[in-house]
Amino acid sequence: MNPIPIEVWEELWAGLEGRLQAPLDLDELAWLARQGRWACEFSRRNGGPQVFDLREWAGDLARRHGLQLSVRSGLAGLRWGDLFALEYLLLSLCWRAFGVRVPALCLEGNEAEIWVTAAAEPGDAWLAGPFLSYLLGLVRGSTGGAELFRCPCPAQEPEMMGTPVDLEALHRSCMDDEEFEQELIETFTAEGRRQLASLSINFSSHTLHSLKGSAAMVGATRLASMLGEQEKALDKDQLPELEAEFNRVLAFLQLRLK
Amino acid sequence: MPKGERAPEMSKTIQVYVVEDSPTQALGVKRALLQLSDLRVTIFHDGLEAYRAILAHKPDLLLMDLILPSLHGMALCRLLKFHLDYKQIPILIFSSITESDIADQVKAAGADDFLAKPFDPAELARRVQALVAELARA
Repeated sequence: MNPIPIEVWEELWAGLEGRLQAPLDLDELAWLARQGRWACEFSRRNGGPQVFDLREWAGDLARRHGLQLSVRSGLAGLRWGDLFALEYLLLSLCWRAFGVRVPALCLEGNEAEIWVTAAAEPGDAWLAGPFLSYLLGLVRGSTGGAELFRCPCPAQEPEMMGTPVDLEALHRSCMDDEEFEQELIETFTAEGRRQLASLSINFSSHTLHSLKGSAAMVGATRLASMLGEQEKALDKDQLPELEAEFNRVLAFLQLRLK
Repeated sequence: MPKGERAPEMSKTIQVYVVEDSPTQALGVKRALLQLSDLRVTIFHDGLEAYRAILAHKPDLLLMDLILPSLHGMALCRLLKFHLDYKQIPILIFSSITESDIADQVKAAGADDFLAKPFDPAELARRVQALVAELARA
């Protein structure tokens, strides 16, 4: 499963290939994709940024890591699901390409290209920040390349998708009772996770139907509609998309709780 | 009854059974019914479990989903409505099934009312209030 369109990967890595010590094989690619999806999941579960704007990300990353960075014109319009995903993906790429010790990431580029090189050994302090420390700790502890989390992260146009939750519907269900809204969100979160786990084992119309009703109750109209479609189609290949939309809904609701 | 209004009959607690397998939706139904007074609400998550409970202790009112584990809501409705001892229990069925004639199917099975999901909690409370009023008149 690689829900991120291959064109996105190809474009991103086109400028990196010549710098790597050895060409990436498919396993390597899959490993990186898993790490990227894992980073998405981390961000979603923790209320991290849900919309990724490449230009904004590039500016932010350059500021924090002292990089020279400009975005290839063809990439500038890309919007991905998560800010940290690409950052972590690139760090992972460096790690895999240049050795066990994570080197400083150095991105360079111009209007036509973007590429990555290893900077002179600056030490771990250069990669500061709790998020990176946490991730790097996990990377170092993970030697088998086993999948940590499954997190579909399709390239999305968020402005076309709209808000994942119809707040008016949520308020109506909750009768403007904030305490109840919190209880409802917590219950939906637990139920949704359980139901999705169940769907990965048995993609049943009953479970899809049940979750559809719950999604509609919290105002997750798009998710409810997707579940309704799958209730009829029963196409298990669509499970990653359902999970991605569920995660969008959860991230939105979790922000409300905060 | 809406809080603050007097009940038309002497105050008697109405025993309501709600059969809904989704915890989120069961919570929503329970909260909607809080708008009404003198109701004691019991939640069941399984059709067969609810049926056994009804046989043990007959409720005054039954609200239920259609697609339920163990025993489908339509089957449970028919079982009760074709039984002399239970057919007088008013049944309101709610469902997110989108078939155009689902309300007719539900009524044909003997249900007293149907409400499409997602429903407005105020609307659910109104429908339940109407069924309670029928009970008081009966």
